[in-house]
Amino acid sequence: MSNAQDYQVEERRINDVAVKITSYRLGDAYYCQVANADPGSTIARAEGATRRQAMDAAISKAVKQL
Amino acid sequence: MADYAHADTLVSTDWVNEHKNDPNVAIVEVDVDTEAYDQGHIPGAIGWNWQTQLCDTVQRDIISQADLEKLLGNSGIGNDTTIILYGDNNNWFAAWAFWQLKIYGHQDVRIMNGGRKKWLAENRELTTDASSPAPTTYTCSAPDNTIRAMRRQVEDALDAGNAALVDVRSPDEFSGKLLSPPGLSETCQRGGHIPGAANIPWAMACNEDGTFKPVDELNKIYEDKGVTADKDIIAYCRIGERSSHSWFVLKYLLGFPNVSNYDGSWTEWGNLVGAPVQRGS
Repeated sequence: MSNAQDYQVEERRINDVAVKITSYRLGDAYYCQVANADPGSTIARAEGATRRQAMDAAISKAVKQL
Repeated sequence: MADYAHADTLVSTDWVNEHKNDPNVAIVEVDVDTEAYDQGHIPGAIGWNWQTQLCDTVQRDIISQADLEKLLGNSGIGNDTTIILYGDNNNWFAAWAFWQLKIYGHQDVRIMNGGRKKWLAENRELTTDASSPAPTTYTCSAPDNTIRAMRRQVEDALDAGNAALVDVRSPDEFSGKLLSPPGLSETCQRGGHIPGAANIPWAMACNEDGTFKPVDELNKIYEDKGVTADKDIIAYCRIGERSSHSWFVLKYLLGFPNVSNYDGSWTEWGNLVGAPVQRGS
């Protein structure tokens, strides 16, 4: 058991769709979720050893979805 | 939270942290993102999947009484258990679970104000270990369908002109510009809204941290659009879940007496042959 850390939300446009990219660290892993800004449904998610890895992987999936 | 009409239906993240080991309290996470639970949840929390566990997976309907009894029993929840619901995205699907639990008469069900977002932002404890509660036997009450609107009731209300219809989707869905939000599969044949509906997007009820806005702000949001306590109110969205959030706000935070959720929503209405549709804002 550990605590959530480095919780962060940023807004961006992917393929002209407004999205929110949420990321946080839990233990040794970073988790990232890409959701449409409205209403907030998940488009893609990924995990990685760093925030950058997790975000890049999730955004890459989101680009294909949107 | 004292100013809300039914303030006892909300608890804070501090309250949950203090009660997470209370044997009379069951904490349940319900997310729109069904993988979120596996990537960290409140220690001891059970995860429910809205796509498979909070609906009838064969015909389009809410969960059956028998299936809910089974779900609650398997979750170690008894009739006297205090259920604390929380989830991602401003408690969107926590409200969906709340609505169904109220249909089947669970007495003590509450929502953690701020949901998963606030818990994470406060750097609170998480685990990836799934909870395994001891099964119990649960007996539901007969369904209370006064808080659920079916298509016929919406049609009747439209004919009589005696109800306030609240469309809680985005302005672009309301106007007909979009058939569904980007990236989502459930859609409809026609875009627009039910004639006479007021567009009050569901997330207007929330602060940036995921908590609910104060009661005076909530009252103003609805009053400004003519949605007041003296009316029969029917909330709808696309598949009935965003509108369950607005239903919770109207019924439990503002205390409006006659509020129902039309879960058929736009994916039903927008596919009907001959149903009246209005376009534009």
